[in-house]
Amino acid sequence: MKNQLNALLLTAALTGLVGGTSVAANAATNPNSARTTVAKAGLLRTGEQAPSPKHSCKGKNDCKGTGGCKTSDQGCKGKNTCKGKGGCATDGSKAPSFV
Amino acid sequence: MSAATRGSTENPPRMSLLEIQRTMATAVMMPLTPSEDMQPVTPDGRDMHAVAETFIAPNQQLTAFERLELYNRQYWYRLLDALADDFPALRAALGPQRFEALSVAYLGAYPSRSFSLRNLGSSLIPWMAEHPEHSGRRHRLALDVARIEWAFVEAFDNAQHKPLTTDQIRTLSGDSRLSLQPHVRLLALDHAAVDLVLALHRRQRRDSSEAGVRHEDSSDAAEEKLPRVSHRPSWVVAHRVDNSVYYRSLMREEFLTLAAIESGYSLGEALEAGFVGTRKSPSRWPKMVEQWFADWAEFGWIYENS
Repeated sequence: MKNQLNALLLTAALTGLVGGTSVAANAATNPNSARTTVAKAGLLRTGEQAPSPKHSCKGKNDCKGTGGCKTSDQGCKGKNTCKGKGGCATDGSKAPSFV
Repeated sequence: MSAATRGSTENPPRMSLLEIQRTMATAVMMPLTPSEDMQPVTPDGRDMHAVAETFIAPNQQLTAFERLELYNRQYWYRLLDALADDFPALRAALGPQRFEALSVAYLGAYPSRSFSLRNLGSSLIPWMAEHPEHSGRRHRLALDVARIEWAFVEAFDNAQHKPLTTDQIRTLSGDSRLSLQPHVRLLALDHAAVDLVLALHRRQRRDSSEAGVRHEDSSDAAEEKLPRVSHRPSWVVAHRVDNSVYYRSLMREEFLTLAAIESGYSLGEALEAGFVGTRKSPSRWPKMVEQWFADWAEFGWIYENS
């Protein structure tokens, strides 16, 4: 009985995989199908974040013109600039070679 | 012979570049005082003013200490901003002051060690679990909020391998071991908190767009009033579709099956694990399984790790 149920579940899983793979292949070429997939994806988190609330780098220390932090504005650049905006999915696993 | 090795009697020996870098890093990474100034004493007990003068020249307006202090502050402000950027709903739930205290304590325990600020919050959840005193009476909810937000970071940029192909599916059996895409992050939560988190994100964006960058330095530590959230287990997956991150609710059985696949169970074992303790009638199981696997394949969540 248990083996029979397990066989049924396995068959169901493989049937589902074949069907879903077919839908995904269709979505790759058909915009309507792709929209259907996105609609099923769940609740979207829009990644665009509000400006950092408190410690904005620029001018926080009133260091402008006093020397000692010429590069502070530059230091702000590049941090998570792509985050949440899409288009920069990577494997995220490798440090630059100079690190 | 260079000045660095000659050891002039008139001037102290020059520091090597490595010594300067290490001294600078130690100074810059020291926690700020409660009034957000640089510590007057180094971790090994030396006078910070004297240390700063060994490798920083004063200018007409600032002493060596004051010049170094700018970098010390910027370092910490940058880290605190990065955490606030990754956990906006947690910050809203705890209130800005409590969140900042939590951030400082966390960064004291887990200083930045990665080349990327992306990884700064990677230990926050286990650390919070061990330090409930920082998240107050809403500790369990705060943990869920942090889990949901960290899952976004991982779902956003974790890898995506080539999903299962039809040819690969044909070769599968109950003994096959499949893998979950690294961007698919499974969450078992104590609260149905995804709606809350997304509502907080929306509120924060709305407030910021209406008022620009709000100045909260003078605000009280009052916690933002939260939307109602039910205290019941929920199972959620964070995943990426077309470079956007979505949160999708799962049935408990679906979650357990995915978790078993992720843990390396064979396909047959995972299907059994999914229904442990379920109250759903076995007659419904095959239909449920077929729908789950169809959805997972459609989203490309499954791949074969050769």
